[in-house]
Amino acid sequence: MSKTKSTIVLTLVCIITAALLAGTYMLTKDKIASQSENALTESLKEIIPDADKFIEETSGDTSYFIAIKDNIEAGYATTGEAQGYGGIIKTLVGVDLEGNILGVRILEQSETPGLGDKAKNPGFYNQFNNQKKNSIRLSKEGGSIDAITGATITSRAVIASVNDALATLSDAVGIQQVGEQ
Amino acid sequence: MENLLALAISMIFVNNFILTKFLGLCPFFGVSKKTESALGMGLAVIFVMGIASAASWLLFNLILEPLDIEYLQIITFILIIAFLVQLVELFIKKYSEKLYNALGIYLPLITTNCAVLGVAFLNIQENLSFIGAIVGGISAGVGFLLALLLMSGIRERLELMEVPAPFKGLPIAFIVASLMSLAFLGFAGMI
Amino acid sequence: MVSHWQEFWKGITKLNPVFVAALGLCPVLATTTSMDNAIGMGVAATFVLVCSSIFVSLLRKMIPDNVRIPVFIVIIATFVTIAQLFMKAYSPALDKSLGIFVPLIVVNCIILGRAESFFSKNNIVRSMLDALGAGLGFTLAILLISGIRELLGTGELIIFGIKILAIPITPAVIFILAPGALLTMGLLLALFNALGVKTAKKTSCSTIASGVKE
Repeated sequence: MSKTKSTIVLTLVCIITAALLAGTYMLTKDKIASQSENALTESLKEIIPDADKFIEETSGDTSYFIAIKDNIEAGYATTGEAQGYGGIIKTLVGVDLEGNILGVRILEQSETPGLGDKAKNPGFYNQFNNQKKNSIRLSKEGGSIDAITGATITSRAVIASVNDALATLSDAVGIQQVGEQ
Repeated sequence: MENLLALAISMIFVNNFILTKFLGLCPFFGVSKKTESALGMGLAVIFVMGIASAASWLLFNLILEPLDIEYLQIITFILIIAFLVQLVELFIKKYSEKLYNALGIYLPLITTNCAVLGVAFLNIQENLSFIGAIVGGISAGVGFLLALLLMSGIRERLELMEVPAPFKGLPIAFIVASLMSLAFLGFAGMI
Repeated sequence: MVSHWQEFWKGITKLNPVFVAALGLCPVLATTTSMDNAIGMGVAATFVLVCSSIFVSLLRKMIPDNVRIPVFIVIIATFVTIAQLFMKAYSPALDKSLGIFVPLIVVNCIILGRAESFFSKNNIVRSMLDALGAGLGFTLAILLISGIRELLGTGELIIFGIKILAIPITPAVIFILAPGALLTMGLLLALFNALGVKTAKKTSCSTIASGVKE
């Protein structure tokens, strides 16, 4: 087969595939973008359900959210990260104006299925509700968070991730919620 | 700047490409019967993974991302790898006829090796720097070689044993691999 | 002349890509941690198989012999990218759990192997049937493996959030982890051997290798 024919066929294949790809990309890119936005918005609404809206602010190189209710600030939320057993655990933490934790949601985790990934069950993360910074330790260390059976590292990592978020908020809005007990 | 040593240890032991991540299995079970071929294959893979990591990193960060055409990542990466493997093959053929004959059919197989394409994707996913990507690629290759050498050592001995009929060949190889994987699980949490 | 039904059926039985040909092992072991992952992977792989079969078969008389492997790769990579984009848009959780194994479909020897040995030599209808059969064979195989791993590893089988089965044993978490995958595969292969099914003697993508060499 002649060289020109080879080149023509190759070019044609490249053009068709490039067109197909660009087309699919155009079709899907908005949906893809909104998917990650949705996950965050959904979680924000879950943690602070009576907020009318959330405003995003930046502080240094991190961002956080201010929950607005009836035109006044009602709470804050941000994400925190910590190294877990299988990868980074990313949590979303919401606090009220006194620094009480309103809720915690696990945004990303790659912990062991059946063990560490039980962190994504409400049974685990709801333990953080109404806690303050000092009491979010494992119960075997005097705190009020029961670790996931057989997944102490994951449990600790979630706590570290929540602390990371609290530290961000502390820097950003000065929440003194170290809950001196 | 990420910790390069931790990265290397992670790629070689904790996240061993073959025994933990399951990348590069076909050659693992296919080549590992003799230690010499395992060594040759492993070294070739290390080399290809190193330059493929560098090339794909450059491609992604200098061209794909700035031009907002990240969706071409799959096509461009695999084409780069195919091209690099052809180059390596020509190079080896020219400079070492012996090595070329020893590696034989396994060289072009590196193109379809999940490990090479896999490490290229992983480097981008983990947001590694250019040096990090190269270190990552080479370490992953070292981990691959390590698993391959361990396996070939065991398989050489296995050939001399009485294996129950249904297990002969691949099944026993899988079970051996699962025991190796179990051992490597011990590295988890090390970093 | 092989009947149409046989073109399809052989992918599931005689030429089952996973157990008989031991092709494309990487995703088999890595994505069988849960039934949901296996279903997602199977569907994606079948999609790529069928679309590639159509294109390769359509263009088979026009692709010059010496560049056929790169052309196959480009075609397959295109559909893998399309599959990934759709997955990211409509099933981001699945995309996250399958991770790099979605783009790795492009080097899955099953697809490249079928393209080289079948789609490029047969008409569209036969190629599509072959692709569907291989895809279904692959999917069934990984469903079997993931079913075993999930059941023994967590004690339950959950598909799309619905609990299908639960057995009252203390689960052996090892099955969900890496060693368990290898163990399950080894035991299944031994079982098939004992039952008289001819399984693969070695893993190889040699058809592709010889093709790339030219």
